[in-house]
Formats: sequence, structure tokens, C-alpha cells
Amino acid sequence: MSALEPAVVHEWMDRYGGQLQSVAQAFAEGSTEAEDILQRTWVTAWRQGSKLEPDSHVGAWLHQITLNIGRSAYRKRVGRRRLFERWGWRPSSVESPPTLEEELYRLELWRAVAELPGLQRQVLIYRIVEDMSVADTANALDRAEGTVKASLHRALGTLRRRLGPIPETECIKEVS
Amino acid sequence: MTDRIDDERVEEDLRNLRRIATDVPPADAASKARWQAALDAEVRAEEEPTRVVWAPAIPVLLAALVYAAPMGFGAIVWAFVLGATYAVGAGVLFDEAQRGELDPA
Repeated sequence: MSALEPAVVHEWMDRYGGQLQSVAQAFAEGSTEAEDILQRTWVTAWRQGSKLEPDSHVGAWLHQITLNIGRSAYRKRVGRRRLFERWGWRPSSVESPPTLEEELYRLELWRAVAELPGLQRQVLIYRIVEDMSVADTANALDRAEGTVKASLHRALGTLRRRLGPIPETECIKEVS
Repeated sequence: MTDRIDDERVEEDLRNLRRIATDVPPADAASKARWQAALDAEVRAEEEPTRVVWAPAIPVLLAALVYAAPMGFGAIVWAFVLGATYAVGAGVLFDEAQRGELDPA
């Protein structure tokens, strides 16, 4: 399997770098770990990008990769911390407190999205990252529209249960 | 009617989620330069297969054989196998260090 031209990934860095940076931060403890998650995302994208169909939705695909790598890094860190705590060692947290309400919600949101079951996660990412309609999402995922709608309802229900009512962004800005 | 209200609520939630999730500042130039440099280094490392540099490996292997020689044939065979394994490892590391691929961390 041949890998992509790095220039293609460089273009993706320009286009999606900011968004993926905020996704990576949701799973990282400090900027170094976020940087590491992102580097691994770009390398994975470069290695596997040649498998993408020409009409693929690159933004959604890159978000999925970042979520998978981030979730794995987050779980490893939590596991390590539990192990250390069992030994009686309490590591000092280097996580800086988010300064904005919206930033805090965004971090929680990506963590919650990463824990959704596969199809629900895919549907939600296609709809919020690519801004695709139900019909287009169904087409892209090769599923019935009813299935996509049901998955979306379940995904939003899970997010509401975990994070509370989804706030209007204007309200968040007022709070901050 | 209820379905329509429900759909409207979903769309409203999605609009809010979309803004929260994607309305972020673009990555700064320094970050992009770092990512590109790291990816380019990965690409170079993949394109150039790791070589064994035998120059530093041969003295290690010879020393192992000389040390084992008085102990008989079995010891020589073992010294050759263990010495060659070590020598190849050292050769690979030497090559990576020469190309600046060893992570100092």
C-alpha cells in the first residue's frame, strides 16, 4: 500500500488543524500530550489516506482518527493514574483549568462523543463537522435515513444525559 | 406535529453543537510548521530503510569470539550468535544515531 503525498496532509493541517487541536486538547493533560495526539493523527492520516475514496469526507474522517487516538491516550492515562493511586502516590495535576465556559463544554463534549457507540459517533460527526443533511449522511454511511435519524436521536439523548441540556451558544458566551 | 417539533429541537441542538465543536480559531503558523516537520521526518524515516552499519559491529563480534575461543566449540557458537545479535542491534542504533532519528527523550 502506498502512502499519500505529504503535501496533501499539509493541506489538511491548514484546513482542519485548529479544529483537531481542540479535539486533541479534550483528551490531553497539557499541551505536550495534545501535540502528541495530533502528530499521531497526521501520521495515521498520511499512512491510511490512500485508502480514502475520492468523494470521502476528510474532515469527518480526521475527527474520527483524532477521537480514537485521543480516547486511547485518555484511557491509558486514567489507568496509569489508578495504578499509581493504588500504590499510594498522588500525582499532581498539570491540567490547567479552562478559562471559558465554552471551552470547558467543548472538552467535555468531545470526550462524550468519543464514548458513543460507533454508528452514533459517526452520524454525529458527519452532521456537526461536515454539516451534512440526514439524507447525505445516510448516503455517505450507506445506511437507511431512518437508521441515521434514530442513531442521531440516541446520540443526542446520551449527550444530554451526560452533559445536561445542550446550551445555546449565545448563552455560553454570556456566562463567560 | 410532535415529530416536527422534535426534528426542530434536534436541528437546534445540532446547530449549537456545531458552533461549540467547530467554531475554533485556526491553528497558528508555528504549530503547522511543527506538524509538517514531524510528518516529513516520519516520511523520510519510512522511505529510507534502516541499515546495519557493520563498522562498529565487527569489533564487538570479534571480541566475543576471541573471549570464547579457549572454552571450546560450543562456546564459540554461542558467542557468535549472541555477539552477532548484539552487533546487529548496535549497528542499527549507530545508523539511527547517525541519521539523527534517536529520540533523546
